[in-house]
Amino acid sequence: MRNQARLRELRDGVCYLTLDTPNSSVNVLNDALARWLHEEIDAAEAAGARVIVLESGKPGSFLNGVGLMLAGSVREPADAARLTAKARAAYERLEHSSLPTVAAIRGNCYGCGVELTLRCRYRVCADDFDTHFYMTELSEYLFTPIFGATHALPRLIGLEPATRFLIWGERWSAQQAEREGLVDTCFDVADFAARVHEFALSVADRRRERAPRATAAAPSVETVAELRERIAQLPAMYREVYATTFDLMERAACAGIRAPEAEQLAAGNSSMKAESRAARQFFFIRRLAHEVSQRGFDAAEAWQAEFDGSVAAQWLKSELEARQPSGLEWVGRRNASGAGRVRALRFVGYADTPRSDARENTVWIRDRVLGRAPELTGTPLVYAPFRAEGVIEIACRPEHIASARAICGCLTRARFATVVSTPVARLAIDELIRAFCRPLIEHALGRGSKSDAAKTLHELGFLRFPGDWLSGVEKPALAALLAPERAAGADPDLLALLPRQNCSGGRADLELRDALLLSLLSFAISSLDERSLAHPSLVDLLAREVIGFPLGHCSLCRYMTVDRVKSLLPRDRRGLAPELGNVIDFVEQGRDFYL
Amino acid sequence: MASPAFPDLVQRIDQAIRSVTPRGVDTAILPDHSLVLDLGFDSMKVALLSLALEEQLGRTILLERWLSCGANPATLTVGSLHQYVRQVLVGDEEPGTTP
Repeated sequence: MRNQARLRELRDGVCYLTLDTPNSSVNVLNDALARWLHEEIDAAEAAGARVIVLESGKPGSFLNGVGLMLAGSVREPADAARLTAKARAAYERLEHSSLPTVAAIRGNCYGCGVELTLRCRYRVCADDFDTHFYMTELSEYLFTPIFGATHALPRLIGLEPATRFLIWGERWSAQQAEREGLVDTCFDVADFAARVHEFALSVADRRRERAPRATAAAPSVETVAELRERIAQLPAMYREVYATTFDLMERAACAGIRAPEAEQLAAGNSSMKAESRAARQFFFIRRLAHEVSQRGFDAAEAWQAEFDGSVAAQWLKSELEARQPSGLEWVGRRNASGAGRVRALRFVGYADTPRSDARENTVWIRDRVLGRAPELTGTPLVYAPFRAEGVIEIACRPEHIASARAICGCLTRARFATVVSTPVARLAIDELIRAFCRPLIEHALGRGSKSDAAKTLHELGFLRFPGDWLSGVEKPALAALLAPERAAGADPDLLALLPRQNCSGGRADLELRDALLLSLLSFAISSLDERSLAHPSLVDLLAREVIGFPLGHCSLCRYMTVDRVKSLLPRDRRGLAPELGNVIDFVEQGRDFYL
Repeated sequence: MASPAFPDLVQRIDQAIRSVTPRGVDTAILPDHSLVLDLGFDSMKVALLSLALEEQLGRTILLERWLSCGANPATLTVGSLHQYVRQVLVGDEEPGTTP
């Protein structure tokens, strides 16, 4: 087996260890890498190095875990500790090296990668869009991290920031990581290597003070109480793992208690829960969605893009400038990427009144809810109605799917959650919002209370509510989308009928719950039957990113099995709304979306 | 090993593995090969394998349940994948027997 990490060089007393998992686009924390890390640290110490710099040989990525695969192997809580023993020993070896250690982070640094850098004495990172920090364990997979983050993070940066980062899943840019104290400093990417070397020399020459292990002050009683209260408000499926993880963090922050065995047990316990298993499955579904939407996309292709003066086009331009996906060139700049093929694209704002000035290379872009069906001709439409959520639909006619996939490929590289659709009538995002909101509106119009509707969503596991995330939509667009039959006169205030976060009290309404789920299922079936979405994973990605379908249920299509749907349907199906006819077909056909 | 609908099931699965493995399309695929340790699969590649299997078999098979069958990565072998896919396909062909 080839080296997972190689002792690259010893220069001026600085020993560079480069993580470089063979045959993989990312570094993977596995037993082989753990063993090599041990050996290389031994070698560095024996070779007379003065400082160790840990860096990645993979562009765009520091270290990924095998946590998903290991978590799947956990049969009993103690398995988590057993399966990670070698990796944890390597982490310990790094932490207790006789040499000072510097993590030089360039590219995304997630989960156990963050935890590895926390074992280094210093952390420096590149100041670019690719370099960002994210604790995936709880936010994406609903299990407690196992490599020491519950202790190290609150001790390093304080309980409140650590809670935002680890518990609430904030993604931190390089600059935010520096502000929060997660990294010591960030360097311009243009001379990153030179600045890292200077930094390492300053450490080796003892010109830099030894970074203290624990600098954060203990949190106040009020802070702890507020954080606990927020966790107590979570839906039941999330509460236990969040509370257990927070307990470990609080003990570290308030009493300095380091409890690796308790952390390992919590990791083992949580990874065995049905919610965690479901959440981990969504990782695979998300990957499928990316692959399906980009199928056939030539990664070597470059764009030469121009943008008109519309707000939507200028927004996309500014996002792409900040995110800097590979393969994107701007008009007026030479094609520096050396790509074999360059696609010229002109992004033009899609207005409420259809325009006829499309050229062959025009791409429409819309950054607000459209509501009505779009006019699609030979021009794809980039639809990003919720800018902050980073979800984008690229709609086109079936014969233009290749163009849409090329655009999708580039936007995915810019880390948007992107799906390609070939809508029959409304856009897929609009249809999904409609399927989700209409039962809620009917409930409200039938004099059901908003707090009951909020409680129903909460018990289903929703963490955010449509009355909040639709609050920026203009009334006419919302009316056109949700109640076109009521929109002929004055625009009704439909937003006022939808539940919001602050709707407290209330009781879950089982009829509303079933109506919501059946309406979403009907959307999924019709989208796939009509081929407006080509794969269940695309339905699932949209349901997750647009309406926040609960992670603890994995995904809409995974959750809505034939057996579950049978249990939701009323005995007397004659009372079902005609639009739910496809649900009956789904049950009678007897095939789940996924095997 | 086959399912009623796919008499050449093993060949189809191996073809799917071959199309995804980082070791390349000429890689020898043996039943006792571990996808993780011998064929270089990580969780992202496993997701791609789902898609490759769908192309071969026409049904979307998520592999999370197969992953959870293994007590450690060494047991996630090509042979165990053959077995798993056959089981879920038979279950699909005969509703009510899906593992």
